[in-house]
Amino acid sequence: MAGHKIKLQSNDGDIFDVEVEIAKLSITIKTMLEDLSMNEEEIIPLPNINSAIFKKVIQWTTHHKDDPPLPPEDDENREKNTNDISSWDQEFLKVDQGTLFELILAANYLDIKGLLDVTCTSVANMIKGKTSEEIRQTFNIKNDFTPQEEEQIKKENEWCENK
Amino acid sequence: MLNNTISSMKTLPVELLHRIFDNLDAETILLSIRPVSRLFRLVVDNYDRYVFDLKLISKTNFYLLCRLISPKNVISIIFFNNQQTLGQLDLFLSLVRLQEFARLHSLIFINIDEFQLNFILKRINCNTLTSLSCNIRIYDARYKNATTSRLSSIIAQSTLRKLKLDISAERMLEISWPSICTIEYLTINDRITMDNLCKISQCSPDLHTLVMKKTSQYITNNLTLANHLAINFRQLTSLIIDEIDVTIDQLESFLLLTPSLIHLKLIDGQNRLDGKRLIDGERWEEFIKINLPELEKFEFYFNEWRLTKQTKTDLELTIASFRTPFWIEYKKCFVICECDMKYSFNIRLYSIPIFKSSVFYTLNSKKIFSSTYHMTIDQDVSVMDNINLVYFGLTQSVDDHTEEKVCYST
Repeated sequence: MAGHKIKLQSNDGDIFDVEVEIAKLSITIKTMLEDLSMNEEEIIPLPNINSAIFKKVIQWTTHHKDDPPLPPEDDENREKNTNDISSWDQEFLKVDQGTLFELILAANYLDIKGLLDVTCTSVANMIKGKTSEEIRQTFNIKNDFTPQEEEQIKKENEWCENK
Repeated sequence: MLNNTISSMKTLPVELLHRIFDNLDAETILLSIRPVSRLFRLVVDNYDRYVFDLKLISKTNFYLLCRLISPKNVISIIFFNNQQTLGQLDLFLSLVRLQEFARLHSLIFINIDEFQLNFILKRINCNTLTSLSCNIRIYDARYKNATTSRLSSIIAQSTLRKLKLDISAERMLEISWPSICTIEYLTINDRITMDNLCKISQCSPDLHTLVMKKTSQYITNNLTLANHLAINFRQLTSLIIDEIDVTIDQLESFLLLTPSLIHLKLIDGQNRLDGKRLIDGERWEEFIKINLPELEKFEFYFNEWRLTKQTKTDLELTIASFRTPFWIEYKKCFVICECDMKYSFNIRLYSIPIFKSSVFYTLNSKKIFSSTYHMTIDQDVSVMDNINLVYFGLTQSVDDHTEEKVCYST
């Protein structure tokens, strides 16, 4: 029923009125609504999502509400090299890394496949073409290998160069 | 995702890191990500959805990857022959034991020699395949029966969903189709016959998407056969035809067999076939209203050669038939009609966003265009969202012609 709204509460207490059709893009929320016969005034808590991230999720689902349904989740549909991101999504994902990873976690928790796909693709695109050191710098990751382990990895790579 | 915890890549659960890896090639995962830290080495070592793409792997890393990737962690192999990767396929076959690839979901053969195809299919486990794509480069008459028998056997598997066959008419005709075939997505070339297509349609109740690379004359010249047999392709909801080289009459006759289409994509061929008359919004509107009542999305890219040089007024006249409420309000289908002044006898009419994945760019081209969309391409780059390959005809220095417009991060 278009226009009909439900109340969703983020983990920092904010309450959002969201159109049912948009909220139902989240399989988690859709299942909740179907399993629990809730009335309009009841508030659905989302204990894993803060309001800043939830606002972004609503922004994304509102823009993509008329998208055709994605194919079912299976390995066959995880084809490599489909790394194109639409220009709207590119703009939407111009956020700091913390927000990007929070969005991945939120999309996973809410089970919104399209948002999970595009956020994971965005991170993959940040990795592409980079060396290990550049990946460490980009994502602020410490190299915790011992000198012996580093040596072992180097040897593995030399193995191919000597061929 | 607890309060006061700033998420970083390190804090993502393994399954989400693996999901990010799904968008990366094997070289990046093993040679760039694995040496980042102990955590990432562990996460990579537990990854089991590798796509082994012989087209993408550089020669320098080839041996290492063949050694590092365990066959049981590979779900897809792309076998590929070309000048740049000369001998790489045979080298791969000598470095691995094909029998050990036990979890394959997808096999893609591009430019394969028929003896290589049979060598591989004889040894590899195809029981778990959901997708098969086969494009044969060099045929060998001695393998004819073996090839068709092996392909028939895979097609008969109840796991198969996606099938792409780019093989000769002779091989195609010899394939035996099961009484019930589970394919949902089929791509065929122009060597398929109407009789063959009818046979496939009859045994494939779940077939919802058909991609035709070129319109087969075998099909368009034999449409009466389908009428005679009272066959249609009612199960199809999506049809893509690439390189149309038939007239609008022939195309319409074929589309009469697909009354349940929801999505239709048509890409015109490059040939100068006179009288194709694909650019006629009024005719398409009538046809869709009567014969494709469920059609939601109509995407197209048409060419047309005119007898006179085209002007802006001509483009306006051409596009007028796409300015009706049917196209703009009901179908929400917006189009651009354009013409390069250098070749002003040829016009192009396409729906937006442009759905072709590649375009040619000509330096110094002066284009005139008309559109039913309220913004130009410069104002709304989403029009070009689907384009991932641009061909440049570089015959002169480009220094004076470059200008930064949009920077894509993908």
